[in-house]
Amino acid sequence: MSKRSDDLRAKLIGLGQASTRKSYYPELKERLQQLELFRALLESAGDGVLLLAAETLMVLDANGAACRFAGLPWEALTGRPLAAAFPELAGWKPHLSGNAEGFVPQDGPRTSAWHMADAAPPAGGEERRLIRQPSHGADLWLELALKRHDIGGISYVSCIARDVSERLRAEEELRESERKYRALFEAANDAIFLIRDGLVRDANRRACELFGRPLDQLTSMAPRDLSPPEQPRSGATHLAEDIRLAKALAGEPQFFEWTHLRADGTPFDCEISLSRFTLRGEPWLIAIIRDVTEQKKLREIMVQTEKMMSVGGVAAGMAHEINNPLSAIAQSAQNLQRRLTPGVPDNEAAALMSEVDLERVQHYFELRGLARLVSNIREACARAADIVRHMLDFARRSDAERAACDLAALLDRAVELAENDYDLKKRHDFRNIRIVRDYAPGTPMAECAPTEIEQVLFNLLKNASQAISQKVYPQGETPRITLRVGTQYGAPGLPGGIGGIRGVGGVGALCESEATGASPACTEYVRVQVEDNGPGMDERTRVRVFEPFYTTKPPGEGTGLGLSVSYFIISRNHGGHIMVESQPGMWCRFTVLLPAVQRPT
Amino acid sequence: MNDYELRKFVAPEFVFGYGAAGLAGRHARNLGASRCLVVSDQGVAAAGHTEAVARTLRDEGIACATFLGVSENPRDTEVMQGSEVFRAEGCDAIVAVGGGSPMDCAKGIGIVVANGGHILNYEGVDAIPKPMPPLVCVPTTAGSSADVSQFAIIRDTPRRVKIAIVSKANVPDVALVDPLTTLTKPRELTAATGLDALTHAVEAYASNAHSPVTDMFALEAIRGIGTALFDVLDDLGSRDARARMALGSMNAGLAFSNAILGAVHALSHSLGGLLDLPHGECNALLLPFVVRRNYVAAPQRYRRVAEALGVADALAAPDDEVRDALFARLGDMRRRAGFDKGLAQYGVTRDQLAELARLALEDPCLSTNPAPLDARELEELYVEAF
Ligand SMILES: [Fe+2]
Repeated sequence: MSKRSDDLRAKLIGLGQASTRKSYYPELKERLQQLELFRALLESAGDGVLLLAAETLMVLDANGAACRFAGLPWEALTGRPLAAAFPELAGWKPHLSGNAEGFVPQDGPRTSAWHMADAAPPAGGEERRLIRQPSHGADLWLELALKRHDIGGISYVSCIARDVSERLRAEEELRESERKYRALFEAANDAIFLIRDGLVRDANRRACELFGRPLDQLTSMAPRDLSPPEQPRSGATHLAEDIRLAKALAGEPQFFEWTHLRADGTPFDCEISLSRFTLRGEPWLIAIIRDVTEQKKLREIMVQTEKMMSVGGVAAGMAHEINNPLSAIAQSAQNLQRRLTPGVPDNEAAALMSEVDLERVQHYFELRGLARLVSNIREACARAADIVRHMLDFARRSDAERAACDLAALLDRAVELAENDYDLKKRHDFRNIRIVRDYAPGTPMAECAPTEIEQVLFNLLKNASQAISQKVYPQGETPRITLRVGTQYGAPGLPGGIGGIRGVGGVGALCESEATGASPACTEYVRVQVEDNGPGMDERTRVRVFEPFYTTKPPGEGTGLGLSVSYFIISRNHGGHIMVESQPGMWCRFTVLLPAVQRPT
Repeated sequence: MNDYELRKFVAPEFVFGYGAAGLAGRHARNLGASRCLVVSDQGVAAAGHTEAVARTLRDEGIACATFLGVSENPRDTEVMQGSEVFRAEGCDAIVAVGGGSPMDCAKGIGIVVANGGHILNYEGVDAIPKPMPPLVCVPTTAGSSADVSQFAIIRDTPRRVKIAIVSKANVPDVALVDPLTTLTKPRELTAATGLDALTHAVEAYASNAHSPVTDMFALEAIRGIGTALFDVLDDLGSRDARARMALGSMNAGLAFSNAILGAVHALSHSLGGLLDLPHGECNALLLPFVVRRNYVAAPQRYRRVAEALGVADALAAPDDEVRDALFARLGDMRRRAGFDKGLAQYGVTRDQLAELARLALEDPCLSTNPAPLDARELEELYVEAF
């Protein structure tokens, strides 16, 4: 017999390698091991897992985490309702639609023991719920996921309890930190932009105030849309901006000066610090924009003051030295005139002794015009003396009488003077200039020497009308001088600023909370402004306009001292401030601030 | 051959006796069944046995789905249909009610359900990896003994052959042998299944794999069937005769399931596969010729067979006398049972014999035939039975 049939016979008669009755046990053992493994997995799971009876929500089984969450040992947890584990669920019933709806066994239960592999797992209803679970220590937040399962004709509900306390805490911390940063962001005294892809995506409150635009407007604009086309220091705005943004994005923080525009088109200077940060993997830029208008003004005023004081000292010294020779010249010219005059006994005697006819000498003088030359000397001396007197004034403290004055009234008187001034009437047609008055009611008095202030105001009006005469007005625009009288808290360069830009209400509130006048920021000033719509002045002129002898007028028109004198009167004699602002081609505005008379409290 | 070569004996848990079929529900429940596929055929269902068993199942709270699509020689396609029903109905156990056909089909369904794939993949010996769902057999024919055997014979319809699926996994969990269920069996079927059972006993006894244990069952079966078959045929309604027939058949089954068969079944499977001829009748026709051919290989065995069948002086007479007497006795029994056709009359043609012999040579049953036979010798046997 062949080998093959030998093997076959051995198997047939039950002696082959695999010729034993088949047993379920090996497979069962494998399944049991799987179950044990599964159980171990469940036990080691961080989530609580509970098996419940579908109808009663009785706990049939639970893993270690579930027992821990419930604070009960397994023996105490099983056989009790779910609410015993999670008290918050007392009286609650999940809405879980069973998957058995489609098939109701007609004649008894059916199982899937032999077709498990082929059938899709039953899809039951699912419900989620977040509960707060008391626990020794901090309460736990558990997220429960309940799902219905129909196995072997019996309905169960599985309940997975996940401890989300950490997650919620982290979320809360995140929200808190977000609130904190938002508060910092909003409270900053500098404007802050968050920029991505070259556009402003977020901006703080200060930015809205500074640019005079609401947030939703800012958040769709590029920095170049908020700037003039040219930057005074760095040329074309868009090129400069591209360079700054690119460098900052490359990780090189930028710090630079920039000119921005408010919504109304007025420019303002700022210092910008631009640096990169990463948010959700995307590169962002944070721009901190500091308005340096006030700082610049302060700096300018300090430079000006120093310069003016030294120039004033030099001028006064010079005047003093010039005064003696000038007196000698004037004296001599006068004597010269007098000693030629007939009828004076000494002159007659001297003529007689010289055998000269005094009448004829005079005739000769007249023929040669000598008498007029001497008059000219005298006139020139008088003018020089006038200048010298002004120069001496720079260094001399005024001793004029001080009184509480109504600056509006002083201003009106200065206008009257100007209207009647010969020079102004003839050469500048002052009466054809429209005078617009904007006097705030309730403006306090200022402590000052009225004649000096009147002179200052007259100077300003004169300056304005001179400026107006330099401009050719286009059709529809007429010469105009606007006069304003009002109140201001704080001096330039100090919080509050010259224009009171920083929210009038805010400043008022701030000041009222403190003793009036106690803080320099809260010193009350009377503000007088003289604004003309003449040609204005460029920046170079503007910063030098108060210097003695600095003038843009043709020679012979004024001494170039009027504004200098005004400066000393206001700043030194009265402890006030005088400033000039201008939009070239549009307007020029002088502002005088004088300390207000303290109101009785 | 020494008597103490290694031998195995495998048998199911079984209950024999009047009313055993009524225990189907209890046994199925104990096996963990909750929803049974009841495999049966139209004839058995018509006799009421299928419903009777299903009722005992329902009484135990077990749901039933019934599959009756089984023909006389159960086909691969029927097995696959049945396993579809099993899956679709979500069954977890099988109860077979009927003769060899439903029981073999039930085994096939169990194999496919547990192992997947097609039933023809499991052809051969020990080729079933996984055990099948619980299987309870309630035989209603005393003959095939599929209820106790490790055999499942399935017809491969595309190839037109019967394939044998032999595995200890095919042994049912419980056999409930109730003689009363055989009372309804018609005469011809009773005769055919009875002769099939006799063939099982003779081939198992003569098998080269017989053992002392199988010998007991085989000889007892030959003795019992030798008298009971004709008692039953004389009185189809005799409970006692039916019971002895059922017992004989079961004993034969226990014997051949372990000692295996021989050339008769190899030749007969070939006829059933190629020509769909009835199994019992083919066995009855071929048995005398195969015994005559095998005699010389195991004379002592056949003498015992002859003795058990009541041949006079079977242990002492010369071999050729005993051989011829046994040949004659087996032929007589066949004729007395009502069968006298030759192969030609069953529609077999001469030119088919070589092909039939070739197929028979492939049959596993041939490996335990006492005499080694080649294709030519097998064909000669067909010729003798022609
Ligand atoms: Fe058979």
